[in-house]
Amino acid sequence: MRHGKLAPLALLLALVLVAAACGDDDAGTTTTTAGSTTTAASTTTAAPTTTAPPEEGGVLVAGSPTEPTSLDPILESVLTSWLVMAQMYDTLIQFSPELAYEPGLAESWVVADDGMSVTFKLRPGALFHSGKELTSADVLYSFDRLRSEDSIQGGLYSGIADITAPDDETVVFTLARPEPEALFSILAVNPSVIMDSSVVDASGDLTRVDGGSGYFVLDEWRAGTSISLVRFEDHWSGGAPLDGIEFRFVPDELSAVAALKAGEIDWFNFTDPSAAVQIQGDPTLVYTESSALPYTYIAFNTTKEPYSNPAFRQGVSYGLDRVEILGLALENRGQITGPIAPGLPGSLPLSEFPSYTYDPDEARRLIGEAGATELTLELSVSSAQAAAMAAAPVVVDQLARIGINATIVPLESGVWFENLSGLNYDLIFGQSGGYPNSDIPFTNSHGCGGAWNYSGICSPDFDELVNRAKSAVGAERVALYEEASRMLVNEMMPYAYLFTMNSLWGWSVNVQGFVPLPLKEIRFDATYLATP
Amino acid sequence: MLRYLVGRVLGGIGTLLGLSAIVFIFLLLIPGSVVANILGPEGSSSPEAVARLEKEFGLDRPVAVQYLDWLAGAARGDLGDSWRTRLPVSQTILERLPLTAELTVLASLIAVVVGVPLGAIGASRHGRLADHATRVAVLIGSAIPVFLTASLVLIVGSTQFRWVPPTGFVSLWDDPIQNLETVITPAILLGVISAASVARMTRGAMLDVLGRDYVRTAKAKGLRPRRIIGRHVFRNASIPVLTVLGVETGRMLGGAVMTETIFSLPGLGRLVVDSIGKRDFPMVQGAVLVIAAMFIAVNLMTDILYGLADPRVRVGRGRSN
Amino acid sequence: MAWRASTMERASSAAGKRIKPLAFVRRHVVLSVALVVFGVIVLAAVLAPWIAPHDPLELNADATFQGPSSTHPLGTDRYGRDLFSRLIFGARVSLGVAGSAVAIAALAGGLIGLVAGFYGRWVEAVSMRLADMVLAFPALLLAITLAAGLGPSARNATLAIAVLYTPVFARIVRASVLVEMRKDYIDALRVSGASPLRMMFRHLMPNIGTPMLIQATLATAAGIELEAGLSFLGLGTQPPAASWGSILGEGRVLLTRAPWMTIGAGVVISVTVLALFLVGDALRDAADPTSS
Repeated sequence: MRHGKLAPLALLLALVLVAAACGDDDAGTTTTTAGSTTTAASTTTAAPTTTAPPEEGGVLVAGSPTEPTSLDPILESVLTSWLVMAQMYDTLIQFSPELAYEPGLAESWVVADDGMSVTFKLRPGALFHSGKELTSADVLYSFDRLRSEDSIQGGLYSGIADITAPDDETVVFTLARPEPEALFSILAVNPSVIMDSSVVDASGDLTRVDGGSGYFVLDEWRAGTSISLVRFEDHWSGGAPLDGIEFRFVPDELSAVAALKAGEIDWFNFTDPSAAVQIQGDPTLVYTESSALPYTYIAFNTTKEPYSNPAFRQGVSYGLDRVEILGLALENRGQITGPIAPGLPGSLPLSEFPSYTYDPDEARRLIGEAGATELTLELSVSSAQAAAMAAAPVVVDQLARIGINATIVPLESGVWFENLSGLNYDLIFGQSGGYPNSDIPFTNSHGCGGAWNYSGICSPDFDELVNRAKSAVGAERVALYEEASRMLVNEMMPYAYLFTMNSLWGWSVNVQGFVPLPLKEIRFDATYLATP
Repeated sequence: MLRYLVGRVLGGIGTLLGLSAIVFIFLLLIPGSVVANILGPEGSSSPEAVARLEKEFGLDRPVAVQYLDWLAGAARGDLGDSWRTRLPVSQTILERLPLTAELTVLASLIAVVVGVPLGAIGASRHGRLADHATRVAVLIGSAIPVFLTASLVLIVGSTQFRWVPPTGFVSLWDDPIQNLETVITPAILLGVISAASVARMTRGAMLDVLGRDYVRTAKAKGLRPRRIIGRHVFRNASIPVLTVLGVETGRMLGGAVMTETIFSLPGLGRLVVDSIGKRDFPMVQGAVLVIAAMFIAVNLMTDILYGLADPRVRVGRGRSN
Repeated sequence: MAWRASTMERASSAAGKRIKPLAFVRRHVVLSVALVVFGVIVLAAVLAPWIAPHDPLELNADATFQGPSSTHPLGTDRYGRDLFSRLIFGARVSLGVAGSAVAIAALAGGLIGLVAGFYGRWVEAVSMRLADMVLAFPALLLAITLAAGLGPSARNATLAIAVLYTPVFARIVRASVLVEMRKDYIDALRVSGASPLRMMFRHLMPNIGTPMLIQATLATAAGIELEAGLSFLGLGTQPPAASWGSILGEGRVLLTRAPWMTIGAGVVISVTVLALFLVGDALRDAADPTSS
């Protein structure tokens, strides 16, 4: 295999290398020009949802790392698909940036005294993109569709016993157990969107057509290149400020940097800090970090020796220097966390978790107690999860210090998930869903036989505690979740909880009104482009 | 000649068949499933959803049936539907083919435009400074990997010059300027790399021819050097140059995947890689088939040109590497 | 000096065809330099544990993104690991992957070519057909496809590169065998009743060594680049192990913060590939001066 190049080009190459090495003296602190900030928490002002849109509009070109497979809410769980769909569809209620429940398609709601049902009052006059009026029948239809055989979302709604519609504007959700909080938490997030049955009847499914009522309408999908949306003029809020959004596929974070700098795209959500920080110092771009709820963890395969031994798991936790991991992997762009992310009800200060204090001696002692000295294991990680990939070498190094010889096994995301859910691993990195409410994750991820329980852990005491917490309210609820967290970390340890990852954003200075949410959801309903 | 041609074409088809079978078997053996890929972490927990998708993709049928079914469709021109986008494979391939083809053609042109003069200079100034200089230049870059230069060009271009090639593909007929802007940088990077082989072959072939008797005769007859070079040397030296160009075009088809990845261009090379990652079997099979067919076609054309240019060769020749 | 050299020449030409180092170097400057360079790199790879100043896997949170210094000749990466040490150990991986891949390909391809050329008929037809199928696909793309499918690892990268070059060796060996087979001594051997195995291994093999060596050299150069390319894309050597390609890949995102990663890895890859290429080229010229 032979290659060649002109001497001039080789010279150019040398010049280029020198330029790169010498350039970019501005890259220094994280607070730089043009209003870019490093926010520790999302303290931006709440986005107005019903005030009249400002003069400026424009079409936002948003970079997206992957092209959606389809745009059908019942078939998609991938983040990048929902990046598009969240703009096309509405939910009954939604989260404010402070994680309070706000009206969406539902104007108001009442929780029954016994907690076994919630009644929602729909907003009159809300329209679908097709022009059809949105009534309670559509809500019934949507949840039937979401819970149907064809849907992949069914597991989320297992707590709903029945849904009825006494009249056109009222919907009643009857629950299997008195857990109204759980219901709110799932209704406020994707995929609990309301779909237009007439569109489904006409097209068979929603994979390539728009059956929504949201702020933006699907305009054009150029496969491999972009998806374009335009503003929905008849939206119940009066309409979003933007004229439209074009989601352009930019699969590579470095290309995203280049595209942002060249003005090819206006907005991008980064997962790799090394790429994201290259935005800094550019006067036409804004670099922002916001705290987020999803966290990275390492799961133990509790169905295998010696990982089934709690002493071993505790030992590993003592042997993980989480401060060093966060520092080296993310350069402190996140927070060390327990099972409930910091800031949420039920989260505890790290001092409550003894095994979070880095103590290699104690680690060795516990691992020895479990009879697992000089162990060799495989640490699996999804190559699509940048934070986990960055943390892996650090974890391997730390495990080596306590006598465990670990090999990193990067897996393509489909294979990673197969191994995760099939319990085909020793230790494996994972990411939590970032739910603001702990009902769903504690039941599904940590409960006996839970749908997302990827460690195989089972503790009836824990399940009982969680059940009590789900039915409780107020301070009692918080206390119960705190107790459950303590149990998870100090006794059970099915996962070694590590850190949350700050969301990293890069956008053009013209982009205004974009509010990052601590959730995985991204909304552009208040965004607009200020013409310079 | 015709018999030779027909023989080669049949051979090519046979090769494609075998290749598709090998690819099919390979895809079966590798770990990972498209279903898990599509459904993602939370979706795959539903066995009904998994079973439904498996049925839709025909994964519940015996392996031989799946392959023959695909083969029958391919013979009709129907390469099936992508498991990821649900769109017809042939449609996606046709959308992506122009970019890769244009990239390869442009790179080949650049390889010739750069390589031939360099080789000619080396040959005509054989042994002197210009010869050594061009050889060294050609060699220095010969070892620098394309992904290195591509990354550097992209990063420095966007950082220092605030320029980046457009990431979408616009057809040449729709908007020639944007089209060229997209394609020219990767084409230059690829073409210049192949220019080395072209230069070497040109130089060698010209030196070879320049030493031949009929050239000395022409010189003795008093023909002007330009006439000699143009009339005799070039035509006879072009044969091996064409050969190497054919080989390099094949390499460029492969090298395109690197540049397509780094410049984020929606080409055929990247399609194969992405589809493999997502375990989208119909797409992989279809794309591999098309790329191999292109490769074989290029080699075939090279051989034909070779046969046309050199009458000595027209009588039966096997392909040797 | 000159008279001594010419005396030596005359003396040794009388004694036989032994290689005289000094004259050899003077006549083949480029080749000698290339051999020395490659030799140095191989030596560095072999002696890595002794000459590397640091453990290539040693993390150091206080020393991240440092530029070249006395403790770290080429600086450090995002984890504070010493780049120079990583490059030296990376040589082991890169050379190891390329070397073993070529060895496997030469062995497998050589055997196939030997058998195909010797026995002919359907054995030859089938194996050459299979070789055609593999060769019908652009090399880099095939390597990427194989590595992406099998799963990213240095071992699978080795396998992929080996698969790529087996048919090349098979064809070359077969062609050489065919040439040899026409020679008289083969007929003589056949008449004298020598067994096929003996003929293949005792007589044919030594004579096809030269083309194989040339191809091996060039294939190793290509193998190093392929390994670099695969690791660059994340399909070859996996973290935290270092290979030249993976360092290049890591360095790409960090180009503005740690350009020495790209420079260091880029230079080593280029120099090594160039050296090998020159050696292979020179060997080819020596074997057949009429080619290019």
